Amino acid sequence: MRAAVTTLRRSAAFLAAAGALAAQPVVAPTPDKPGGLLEGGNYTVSNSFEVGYRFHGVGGNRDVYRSVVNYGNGVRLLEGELRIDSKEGRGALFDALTLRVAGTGGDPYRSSVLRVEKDGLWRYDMQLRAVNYFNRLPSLWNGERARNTQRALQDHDLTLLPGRQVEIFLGYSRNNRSGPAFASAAAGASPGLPRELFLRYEANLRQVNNRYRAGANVRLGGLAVTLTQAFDNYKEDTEYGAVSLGPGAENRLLDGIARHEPFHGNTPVTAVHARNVKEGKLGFQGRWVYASGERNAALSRTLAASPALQSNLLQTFVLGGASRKQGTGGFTVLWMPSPKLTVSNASAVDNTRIDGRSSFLEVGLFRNELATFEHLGIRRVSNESEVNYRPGRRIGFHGAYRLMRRRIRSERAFEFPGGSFGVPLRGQNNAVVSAAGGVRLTPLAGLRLSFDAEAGRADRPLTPISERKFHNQSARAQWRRKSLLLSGHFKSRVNANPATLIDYSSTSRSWGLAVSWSDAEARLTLDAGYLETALRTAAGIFNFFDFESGAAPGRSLYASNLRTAHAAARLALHERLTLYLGWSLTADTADGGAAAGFPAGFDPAYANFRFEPGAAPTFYNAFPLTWRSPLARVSLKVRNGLEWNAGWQYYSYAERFSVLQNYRAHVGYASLRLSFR
Amino acid sequence: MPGQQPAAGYIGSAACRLCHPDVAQGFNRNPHFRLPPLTAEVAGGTACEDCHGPGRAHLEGQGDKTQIVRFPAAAAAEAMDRCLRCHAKDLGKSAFRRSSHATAEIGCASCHKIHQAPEIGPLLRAAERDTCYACHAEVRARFELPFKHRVNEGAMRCSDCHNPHGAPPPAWGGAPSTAMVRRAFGNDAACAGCHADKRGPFVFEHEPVRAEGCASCHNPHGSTNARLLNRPAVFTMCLECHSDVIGFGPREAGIPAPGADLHNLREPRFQNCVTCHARIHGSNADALFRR
Repeated sequence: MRAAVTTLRRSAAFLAAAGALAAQPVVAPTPDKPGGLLEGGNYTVSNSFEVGYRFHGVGGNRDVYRSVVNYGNGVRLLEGELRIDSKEGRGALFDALTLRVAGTGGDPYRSSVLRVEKDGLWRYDMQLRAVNYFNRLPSLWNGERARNTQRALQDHDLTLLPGRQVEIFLGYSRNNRSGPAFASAAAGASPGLPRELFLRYEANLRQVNNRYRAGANVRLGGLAVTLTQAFDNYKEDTEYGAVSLGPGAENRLLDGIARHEPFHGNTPVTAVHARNVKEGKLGFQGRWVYASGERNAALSRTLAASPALQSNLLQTFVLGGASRKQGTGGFTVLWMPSPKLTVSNASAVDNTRIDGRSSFLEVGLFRNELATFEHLGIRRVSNESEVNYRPGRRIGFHGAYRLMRRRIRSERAFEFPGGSFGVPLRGQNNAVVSAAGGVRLTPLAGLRLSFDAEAGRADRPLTPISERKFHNQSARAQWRRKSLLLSGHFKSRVNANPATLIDYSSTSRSWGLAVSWSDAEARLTLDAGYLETALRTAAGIFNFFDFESGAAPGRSLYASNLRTAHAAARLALHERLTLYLGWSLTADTADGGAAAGFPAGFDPAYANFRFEPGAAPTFYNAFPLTWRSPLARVSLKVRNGLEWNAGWQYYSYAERFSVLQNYRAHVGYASLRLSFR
Repeated sequence: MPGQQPAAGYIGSAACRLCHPDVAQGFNRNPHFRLPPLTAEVAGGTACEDCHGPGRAHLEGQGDKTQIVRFPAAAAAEAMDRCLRCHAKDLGKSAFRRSSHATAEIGCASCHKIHQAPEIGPLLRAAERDTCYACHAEVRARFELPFKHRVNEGAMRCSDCHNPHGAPPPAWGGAPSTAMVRRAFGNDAACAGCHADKRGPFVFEHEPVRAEGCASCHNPHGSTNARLLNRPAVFTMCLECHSDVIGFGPREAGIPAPGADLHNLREPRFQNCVTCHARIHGSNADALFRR
């Protein structure tokens, strides 16, 4: 028995340490948390919070740093956690309360989670999240747009009578996005403006999405039914400010601009799910979801133009709206004739119908007037049959056959003063079938092997890059012995979509190795891994390099060779002192170009694309980069309930083709974690 | 239940605590602690034995491991059977038996740790992203690229988009496999849950968004493109589809190619298609998504 307890302790210690080790991409908050409980009345309480100062220094392109990392300086509540649990499972006010917060006080990524519950009576869940999103990148990314916005998400869910035969739930979610942005749009098709011009706007983004839901889980005998009625309201009232013209007009400011583009709509949703909960040899599930939404928009734009635009005033008015009716149903049957055999079949159908209408009026040098009707209908029917057979504990097989049929129909009609034209209702029918199989092996205790393969065919794919002739293979091995874990994997995905002139093929291969180890008392924990992912695509395209000869057939080749490595060690140097060291490297070397069809000696340092004159036009896409991030962190237990932490993380980002977007940054923090227990 | 005599083979939780104090300590913080015993299903069952089975033989065998259900040693299917006795009623877990994880024999105990789980709430073995990364190393690598959703920073979780317990049967997206992707509100793609502005409906829809899904153009896990596109340059990605070649597109009449009289690709402004075709996910004002 003692041995069992020791093993459990050892295992728990290893897992806790491994949890603190794996994937540690940001330096703070400190992941090691103190244990222990404080007893108060009928409750046990644990409470800890980590307060500190975060600082950073950036060299190189600060905009790229802010677009990727974005940590700043200041005092932060890096993390806080409060748990109150009733000792005997029943409390006067509530049975359990959990509150967690992170990033409060100015971090770009903040979250709060609260759960309070009284078993059998009610449960309340709240989640608040906020992300400061910054994206202003130089033109090498061809970015004419920029954002410095904040997205705030909140979810509230109240469940009444949880766990009872009838559960009632009420919920509300809000998704709010706001902040300054830099947008672009085509100038217009009017003769008053050259077609190749585009407009650059300053915008104050304002998007609000409110969602309300109510429903019930009802259990009748062996059947559980979930009924949900929900309502979605979306409002976008972005304000547009100053505007300038894009290239071609030398960024000349227009004399005046007024643009309003409200976009509002509602979507009610009704859903029913039914399933059997008394597990036996036969199981089933069914679901039906119906959403009927509508959004309406208006666009009013007035440009007071300079003489260069020929027209002194260009006014555009659009009034439009669209409705979408979407019905989805599915039915799954599961048959388990014996513990060794499971057979299942899942069928689903989805039907979407979108109808849009708009009226367009543009007044400038000329007057354009147009009324439009658009229809898009998509219907999908899918079926998946699957068999799992486990003749013994050491071996198992599975096989599956999948089928998806899709019909897309669309129609378009235009009406203008003096005439009309349209594209009549036409459709595209498409089917995808695939067969898959695999085997699981446990040849030795702790060793697990798996092999899987899938091959499929599609007729008449919608796009040249859609799956047509595809096959996927994967293999995985994992060996666990005490606190040592070794794992490796290989994956391959191949798709070929042959077509006249625009033959397309894509190959992705990935393999990796990982190791984790901890000593018996988890004083030393090690974690390391290496992964390589190679992606090659070759696509036939038509490109446009000179106006006289028009479109020319060519090729677009993309090669990515992503290599990542990470290593980390956590050392408990003393019972009061813990040190964590980590290092990660991500590099897209974009080599192996010969396999992608790149010419011999091709230098992948030439970014984005390369045009080879004299030959059939070919674009060579590659984006070689290197990203390094070493990390160190130390925690000192000053006394019970008080820890001092400090950490440092270095970011080094380098693109091989240019230095303009490179940066290096130091992000550090020093903090105190106080825990009351 | 208090005062109830354990049925044959059962000994009650109090006996378990004697030998497993490390498990019992703090177990009142575990959501399983507060559950009433499944007396309706397992006569005389008590909290520990609801999951681990009757403990008398284990006790009389002086801790004989073969006489008790041990989840680390149990086959994935066996562990799944035990957990789903209660959790099959949960809507989000009801499809687990035919999920990719169950097929791969990734059972409940592969990700969850019921006793002393470091991650409160879902009782995961480690923080959610670390639990997922442990097997999905290639996804971890994508999140190390310059542009990605803020999963590593803690602002998002894998389960915001994926349901590791299995999604309903595939009914959207062109490919049969859905990688256990959640549905957003109604039956939308998971992306529309946050990106409500892209959800529409629009007067003019960009058909592949609806028919093939967001992944036709985007890699949500990470990209070298600031908009998480599948290619570093915008125009090469667009031109892979927009070729006018008969047989493709919603009418099989070809996906329209840019007018050759206007789009001179030597000029940088035409290398970023969305500078002008700014409403590429759908527009209410222009069939070519320019406003």
